[in-house]
Amino acid sequence: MYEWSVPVIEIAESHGIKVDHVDGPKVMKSEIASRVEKLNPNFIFLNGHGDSKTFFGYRGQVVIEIGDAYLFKNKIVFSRACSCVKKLGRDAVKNHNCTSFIGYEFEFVNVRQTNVELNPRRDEISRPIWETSNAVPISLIKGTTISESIESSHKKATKEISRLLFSKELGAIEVMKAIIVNDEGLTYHGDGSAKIY
Amino acid sequence: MYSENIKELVKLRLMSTPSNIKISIGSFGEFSKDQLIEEVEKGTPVGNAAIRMELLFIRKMASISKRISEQG
Repeated sequence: MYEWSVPVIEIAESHGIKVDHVDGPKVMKSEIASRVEKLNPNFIFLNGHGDSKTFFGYRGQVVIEIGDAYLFKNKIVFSRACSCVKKLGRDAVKNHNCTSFIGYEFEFVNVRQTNVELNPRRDEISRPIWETSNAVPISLIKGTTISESIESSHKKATKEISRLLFSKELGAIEVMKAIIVNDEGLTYHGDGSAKIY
Repeated sequence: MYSENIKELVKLRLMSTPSNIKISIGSFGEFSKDQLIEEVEKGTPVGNAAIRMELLFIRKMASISKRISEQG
């Protein structure tokens, strides 16, 4: 999953945004809390596994749960982790003044070719799925509001589905299903007119 | 949770999935076509998630078609 957040990091840096990215064994509660408190970012992008109340990190460790939602105070969060928006996101906005929390209400679905396991970004099958999701943070980086960033992802989804409907690409139907399920679950809590800067 | 008719419908649709792709369903993990068909048969949480996906796909196609024609 990390591989597909690289284009977002690159675009952020090209817009002069200072990016602090954490991956691998460093994705643990103490490290994340310490960095958020020290750096006080405007925007947090969580990319990994989750459930409605929890974001998980390295080897399934709990990184952020409901009790840690104070970390999101005055921040915009995009969570590409299953269901986090449902309870963690709602609680962060309702009880901890998180500005906006965007995420997926259902399981995030991906499709991949079995022979490109070691290099996910060479997997042309999954590309439309990740690019549709990446439309949210990329749009925010370009200065849109939360609502506009979600609309941008919806438009990308429609464009990809429209292409895949008539495509003979391997797995086109499955990719289309994944995009539809993910698109249906994309939502937010908080201020839809907020921007990251 | 789902009727045998629904399970059969989803299994039939899953059978057309190419063998050289895998589908990852959130934190449930990654599955081949045959594994998903088995999960649907057994009525496991993964199977139910696969059924939900399939039904959502079928249900949303009408509104997606509308969006496509509006977006051009």
